[in-house]
Parts: sequence; C-alpha cells; structure tokens
Amino acid sequence: MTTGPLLPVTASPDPGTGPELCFHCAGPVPAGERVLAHIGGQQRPMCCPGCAAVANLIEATGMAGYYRARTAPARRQSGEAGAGSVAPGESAYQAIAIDLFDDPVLQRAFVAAGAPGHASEAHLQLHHLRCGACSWLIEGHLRKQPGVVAAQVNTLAARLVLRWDPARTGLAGLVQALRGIGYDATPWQAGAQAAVAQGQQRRRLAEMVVAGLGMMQVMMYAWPIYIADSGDMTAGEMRLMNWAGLVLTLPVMLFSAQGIFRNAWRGLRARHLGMDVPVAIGLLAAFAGSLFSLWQGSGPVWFDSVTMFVFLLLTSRWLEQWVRGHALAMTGRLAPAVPAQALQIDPEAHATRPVAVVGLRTGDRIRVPVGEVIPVDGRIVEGAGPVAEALLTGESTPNWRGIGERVLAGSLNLGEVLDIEVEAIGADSTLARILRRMDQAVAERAPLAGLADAAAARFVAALLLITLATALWWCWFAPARALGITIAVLVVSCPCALSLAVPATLAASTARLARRGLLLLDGHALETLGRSRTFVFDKTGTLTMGDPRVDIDWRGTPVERRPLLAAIAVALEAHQPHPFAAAVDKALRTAFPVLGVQPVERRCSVLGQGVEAEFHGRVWRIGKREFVAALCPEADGNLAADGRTVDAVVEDAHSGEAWLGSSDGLALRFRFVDALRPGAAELVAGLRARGAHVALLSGDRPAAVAFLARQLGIDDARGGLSPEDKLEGIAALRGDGPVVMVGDGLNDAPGFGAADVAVAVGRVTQALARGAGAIVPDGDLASLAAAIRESRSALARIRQNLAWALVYNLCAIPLAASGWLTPWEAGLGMSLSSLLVVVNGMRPWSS
Amino acid sequence: MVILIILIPMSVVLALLAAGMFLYMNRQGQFDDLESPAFSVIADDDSVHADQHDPPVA
Repeated sequence: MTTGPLLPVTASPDPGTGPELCFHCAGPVPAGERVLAHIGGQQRPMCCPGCAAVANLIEATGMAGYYRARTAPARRQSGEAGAGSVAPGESAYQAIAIDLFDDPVLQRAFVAAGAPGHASEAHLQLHHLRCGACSWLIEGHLRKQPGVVAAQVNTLAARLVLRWDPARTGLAGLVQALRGIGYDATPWQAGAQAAVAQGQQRRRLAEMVVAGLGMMQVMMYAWPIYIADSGDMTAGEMRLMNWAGLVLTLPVMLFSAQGIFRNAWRGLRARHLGMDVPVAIGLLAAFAGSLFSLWQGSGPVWFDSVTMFVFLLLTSRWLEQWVRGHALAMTGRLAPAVPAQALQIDPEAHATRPVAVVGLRTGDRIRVPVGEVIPVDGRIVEGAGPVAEALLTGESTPNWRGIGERVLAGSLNLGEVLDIEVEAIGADSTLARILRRMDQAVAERAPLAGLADAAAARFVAALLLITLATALWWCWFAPARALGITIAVLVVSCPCALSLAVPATLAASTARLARRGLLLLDGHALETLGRSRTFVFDKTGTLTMGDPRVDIDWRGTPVERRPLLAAIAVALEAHQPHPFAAAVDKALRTAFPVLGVQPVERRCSVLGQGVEAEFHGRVWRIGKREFVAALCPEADGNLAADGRTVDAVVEDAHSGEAWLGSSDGLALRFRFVDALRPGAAELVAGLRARGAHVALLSGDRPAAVAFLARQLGIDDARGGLSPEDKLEGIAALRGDGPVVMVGDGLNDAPGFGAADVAVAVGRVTQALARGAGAIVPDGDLASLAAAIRESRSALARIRQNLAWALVYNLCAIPLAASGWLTPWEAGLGMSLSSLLVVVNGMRPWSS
Repeated sequence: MVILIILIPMSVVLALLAAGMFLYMNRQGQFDDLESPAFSVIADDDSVHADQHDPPVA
C-alpha cells in the first residue's frame, strides 16, 4: 500500500467505465462545471466545492497520505445527503454550535480542566470516522494546531482524547479545525467512566504479561531438573535453580494472581463457592508445597505449574474481556438519548442562541427545530405538531401536541417548530426516571448462577472431602509421605475445565457473533440466551421497523395518469403538518423524482378529516375514506364491491390509511404500513417450533398489537402497557425460568432491568445499551436467532468440558491419592487436560 | 558449571527488568489502542511527527 498510487476508494466495481467519481467521497461527479482539486501532484475530480475544500486543506497540511492509507471513502461534504452520508454502524447525531464548546457550563460534562499553566483534557465522540486512516488524519491535523499538547483517537470507539493548553487556544477553535477536514465532534460525557475501565484494562494486561514472563523463565529453570540424569547436576545447582524459580514465581503469585485470590476470598465470605475457589486452593497448595520442599532441601517443586496455570487462566480471561471490550467500545458510537445542546429563546431580543442543556433552568424557553430530539420535559408555549414518542411509550403513531400540552425529553419533533417552557431537565426528566427504574430493577434481580459456577461448588466440596480422606489415610499408615501426597492430590485435581474453558468458550462465541452483527455486552448473556424458555418482545421498532412506510394502492389507475394524481396529492398535502403528510410526500417523490409543488386554490383542511382544495378548477380531497367519499356519494357503492376481506379491514384499522378522490370517485389509497423487521417472522416461528413461550408486550394500541400477534402467531400479546407494566409482566414470567427481553426503546428499559437477558435491537441509544446484555445495531433479527443457536452450542461445549473434567479427575485423583503419580506426571496431565478443554471450547459450532 | 552461579541470577535480573519495562510502558498507555497507530507507519508522510507544533499551513 505504501507505494501504491493515490486512488479513490471506488463505489463502482469498474471505475474505468462507470461515471466519474469524486476523489474525496467516491460519490458521482455531477455533469456541468467541473470542480477540481490538486492532490498528490494531479488534478482530481471533485463532486462539490465542499469536498474540494476539505481535500485541498488535507493536501496543503501535508496529510495527503490519508488517501493512500484509507480503506473507506470520506463523507460527502455537500448539504444534501449523498449515497454514503451515514456509514453503517454510524448513528445520527445533532451537531453542536461551535461557540458552545468554549462554554464552561457545557464543558463541565466532558472536560477536565487543568491547573493554571497546565493542559486541559477533553473527551469527545467523533462523527464520520470511516477507517483507521481517518484517525491518523485527525490526530495529525490536530497536533499541528497551536496549543495542542496531545490528540489520541480510538478508531473502534470513534473517540478522541484531546489535551490542549487553554492559555493558547480554545476548544471551539480545535473543533472548528476538525470540521475543516470533514469530521465533527460532540461531548462524550461518559469519559470519566471510560478512564476507570481503561485503568482496569491496563491492570489486566499487566497481570497477564507478568505471569507470561514469569512462566517462560521459570520453565527454563524447571526443564533441566526434569531432563537431568542423576549425577548431571549437583544438589547445589538444583537448589540455585529452584530458588531462582521462587524469585520469579513470587511476582506471579503476589501481583498476577491477586484477582483470583480476592475473588475466591469474596466467594468464601459470601458462602458461594465460585470457580476461583478451587483454583486458589490448587495454587496455594502447590506453592506452599514447593516452599516446604525448598526449605527442606528435597522434594518436588511446582513453580512451573503454578506460573503456567496462572498465565493460561489470565490469558483466557483477558481474551474474553478483550472481545467483549470491542463490543462495549462499539456502544460508544450509539446516539445519546438526548442532545447536549438546546436553542434558548431570549425573551427580550426575540432571538435564539445555542446553550448547554445542563445549564437550562425551569421556566426557560427553548425552541426545538423540526426533526430534532426534544432535550427536556416541558410544556408547549408556541406551535403545534406531531411528536414521535415511540421510544418512550412504544406507540407506533406520532401524537399531536399543541399549546399547553406536555412533551417529554427524548421524543422526536416531527412536524413544526415548537417553543417549549422547560419543566424538568436531566435527572428530573421522565426519561431519567425510566432509566433509574431500569438500574433499580437490575440491582434487585437475583443473578443466575452459570453452569460452571454451579459445577465449581460441587467440585470444591468433593475435592476437599477427598483431600481430607487422603491426608488422614496417609497420616495413619505412612506419616512421612502424607504431606507430599496430599499436595499432589490438590495439584492434580485440575479445575481447568471449569476455570479455563468457560472464558475460552465465551470468547470464541462472542467473537463469532460480533461478526454476525450481535454485540454481547454481558458475560452471562450468552449462557442465559441458550437456557431461556421465555422470550418477551416489544412491538414497535423491535418486531416492526418502527418507521411507517407508505404503500400506494393505485387501484387500477393507468400508468400515464399516475404522475398527475401524484402531483395533485403532493399539492394538496403541501405544508400540512399531519404526521403522515410528510410520509406520503416522501413516497410519491420516491416514485416520481421530478414532482414539483403546483399551486392549488381554496385549500381548507378539516381537522381530523383531511384536506380539500381546487386543482385546475376541480375539487379534490385527501384524507379519511368517509371524508373523501362524501364528494361522490354514488361511488361509495364501488367500495363495498371492493371485496375486501375482514383481515384487510382489521389491517387498515391497525395501520391507518388515507384516500385521494374527486367527484369522480376514489382514486388512490395510501396505506401506512409498519413493516416487519427482517428475520422477525423466522425468529418467532423458530422459537415457537422449539416450544418456547413467546410473549408480545407493547405500549401501542391493543388493536395494533393483536393484529401483529395474529400475523406472527403469538398467543400471549398485551397492548397499552406502561414501562412499569412491562416490568411487572416480565417479573411474573420469570417464575417459569429465565426470561429474554427483546426491545428497542426507553419504554422497554425497566423491563430490561427485570429480564435475565435484555437484547436491544435497531437504533439503540446509549442509555438503553447500558441495561442490555446484547445489542443488534443493524436490527437484523436473524443475528439474534444465530445467537440463540450459538448459545446452545456453547452450552453443549461447556457441558462436554465438565464431563471431561469429571472423567479426568476420577482417573487422576485416585492415582495421586495412592501415591502412584510423580509430580512430573501430574503437571503434564494437567497441561494436556487444559489444552484439550480450551480447544474444545473454541471449536466452531456445526449446525 | 560454576558459570551457572553467575548466569542464573543474571537471568532473574533480566526477567525482572523486562517485566518492569513492560509495566512502565503499559502505564504510559502504549497498549491501549493497538489499531490506530498502525496507520502512522503505512502513511509515509512523517512530517506530522517532525513539526508537531508548527502553525497550520491552511
């Protein structure tokens, strides 16, 4: 790649014959006036002045190497959304006014201000990051700005940690520089938590590497003793080797294995014999036995076994956490539930200015533009329009909200600019209350014991009994050999199948599922998915797309007449704030891209009915069926003869519809269909075929819920539920075993807390991901079906390993207890067993 | 094999030194992100690191 030519990352497979592509964003270059940029010594085609400006800046700052290293095209810079404007896995976000970055109120959330004369540190979420070359470009460009001390980008999580000297430059200027090269940033408020997580990650890595170094070197000292014939080495040399082994085992025991001992101790105090208890017992026994031999000057030494076991254990745990860390990092790219910025209305100047939401007070007035998320709970003081509250209530259709009515933080303003008087912000908002309920439910939920944890408890009990019996027996018959043999029993009883194989199995399965689009965030989620017999689904946005699509029924209109009808419909619906007017407009414009808005006369809209207007001298109506049909009473008979089935009538009631007609009769029908998510029908059918109990708990209207339930064959369907109702419904279902909850909105959040595993699908916000055990960001429910299969296979592999551990210990412990096993053989047996279970645990599943 | 008396303590010291060096580097955050730094090698433009504190050209 280093010496390769500067080539755009092409969207078309054959750039030679396809249309000319923009060198910067790989979008099509429009015909007409050509925009060029001088990059890498050549004139390159550009699709728009925006891309050209960015490309020129990149070239001028000596960063053109970006074009060689990148693996994905950049974002299109021109205003309209290009083909690649939002990359997969990238969520929509609301940009923040540039001056606000220097606002101390906003900065409180994400900037750690340094002492005077020292650098400040900001944590930012980056947007439009496409590949590693973007990170390089951003870091390089920012480091060239005066006053920047350090800029570090994490590509996976799309995060930037920026340190700068506040005396020399402001944060706003630096974000402006970032925007100059085509990226954007928003505050990343969880920065402090992430710093803690990073500290833990470093600690784990350090523990593992120290154990690895110790293991390698201790093995060097152990090996000569194993292979030496008697007489090859003097007793003094052997003792030197063993002492050297002890020196290097000490850091492994005291530093690396600290976490294991702490977990075991915590387990013992809570009277819960987890996996770490047998491990700690084995390690302590082997270490103490070796110390005893060393002090006596003779006897077996197990320093190599101790270090190797600690290293293998920490490696498999680190691998598991590393794979999960990848998934957790990806959640950082999810959209926050509410934006950080609001437009405050200045009562004197009658103007708005961007302010930080955290700085707002009760009684302040803010303006929410169309298409933006409402940042606070409040009351509308000006304007009226549809507001989508699907995330908070689960209702599939937007609600009409007028002056004096309440709107909630986290809902989406669809229709009209709204002025809102602030009533509650942040922790006081309904949204925060729902999330608190989720956290509370998580805290109250009794955790499920994993398979291996349950087995570990029995294992420890059996092992301690056997050890005690062995010790007593040898004390009675041959007291001199008692200590050596008792320790050999503890060393050879390998808890590896429990402690090593489970993390290895989880790591392999987690990585496989991540490739299929399901990110596992919780270590227990995988095991519980496979064991659950009850699956609870949300409706809107989970089983359906949550985004009503308009289906045009032409009712036999000849093709040549269709553009005219489409033009009439667009003209009638123009500037109508009804939630579906925009959807109809969009659907018609997709079908007929060249549609213009033609003038109509005498337009009047009848509230709750529709719109009437004259188009070229003729009266047309669009809206409810009765309203439109009233124009031509004689045509109503045709409708009855339409032969619509009962199902179709029910479906209309569920999905809503609008008609277009004139005195000639009804011409067009628009149906609003909330389509099923890909894979939803197969997933539910598959679960039902296996005999699982499938329930549908929704906040939407009972009729709509019943319709979908019939379509999918779900018997247990309940509609009109509040978030709290959902929580109670799930808590009741938990009586029959573990429950999996699948949802997408914040109204599912309390239910997420109550369920044993929560799976968030689709456009998940960061707040919801916090309560989820797994997320499916692209919303393909086939990934969830795959996860359930993978989970069953992982459970099978864990069971096989437990069976192997039983067989191995049944053979090895009697041999050790009777004194037949040499320490050397005990160590080898343990290593081979470890290898076997790890390989079996990571084996790909066969369907 | 008197040499062992020198070599074995030496190997112990070396191993401890290596572990100490790793711990130091880890604390500096050198192993936090193993993906992004790969690109600073691929791109053969080294000026970024050479003139970090120059004013921007644009």
